[in-house]
Amino acid sequence: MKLQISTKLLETIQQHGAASYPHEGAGVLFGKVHPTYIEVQDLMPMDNTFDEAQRGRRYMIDARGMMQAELTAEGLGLDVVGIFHSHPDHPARPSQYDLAHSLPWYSYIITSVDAGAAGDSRAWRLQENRAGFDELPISIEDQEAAA
Amino acid sequence: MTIIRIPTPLRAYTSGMKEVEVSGDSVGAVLSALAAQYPLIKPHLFDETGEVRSYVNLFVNDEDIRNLQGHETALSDSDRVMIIPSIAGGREESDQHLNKATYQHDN
Repeated sequence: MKLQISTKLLETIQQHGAASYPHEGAGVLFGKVHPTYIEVQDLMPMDNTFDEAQRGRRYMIDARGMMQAELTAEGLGLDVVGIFHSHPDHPARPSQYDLAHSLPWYSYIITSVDAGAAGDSRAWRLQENRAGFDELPISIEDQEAAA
Repeated sequence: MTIIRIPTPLRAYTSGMKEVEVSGDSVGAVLSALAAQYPLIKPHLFDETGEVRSYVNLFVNDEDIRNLQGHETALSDSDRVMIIPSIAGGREESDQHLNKATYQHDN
């Protein structure tokens, strides 16, 4: 299983992470899940609604925000396929806190933001038994040329 | 009959169904009916004590049931119930800054 995304959308994720620094930034991924890959086709940056004092190391997308994201995806004919968030001054790997709070099936794109500059983005999916995450290789696919 | 919208992470437990039609006159009743119709979804909606899990949020149309009458909220046939997960996460507790050498080695 791999995660397919365009350069433009990946840049949007990285810019959102950098703009949110020193807080964590987050948003919702829209697309389709195919038998062998997850296709991210659009996204929706969201407010981090965690307590402000802890937004440098925590994010939350509250229920109302998620409901709006679900309705937006529905309107686009897409599914909510995952979540993106940033790790300020920390690697683009899931933390124990991520493990405890992640949902199965969603793809999670984590972007490392080092001193305000976006670094790596890596994609992960929770294992069925919640023991850990599997990394999804990110495949950049730009289709503008074919349009 | 009320339509319940299933969020993507839970569709594996409803045979891939995006929406499920169940009967019941309150939010609590349709949630129980959903769990009876699709038993595999039950542990993801309710904890061991039968309480709805903390990450499960319920909306009737576009209103959070916490602003209505909770699980007692009455439903009519035209209402749609949405199950919406809460989303949270964050980096490791340590304030240690990113060690680039370790990070690259890790890749």
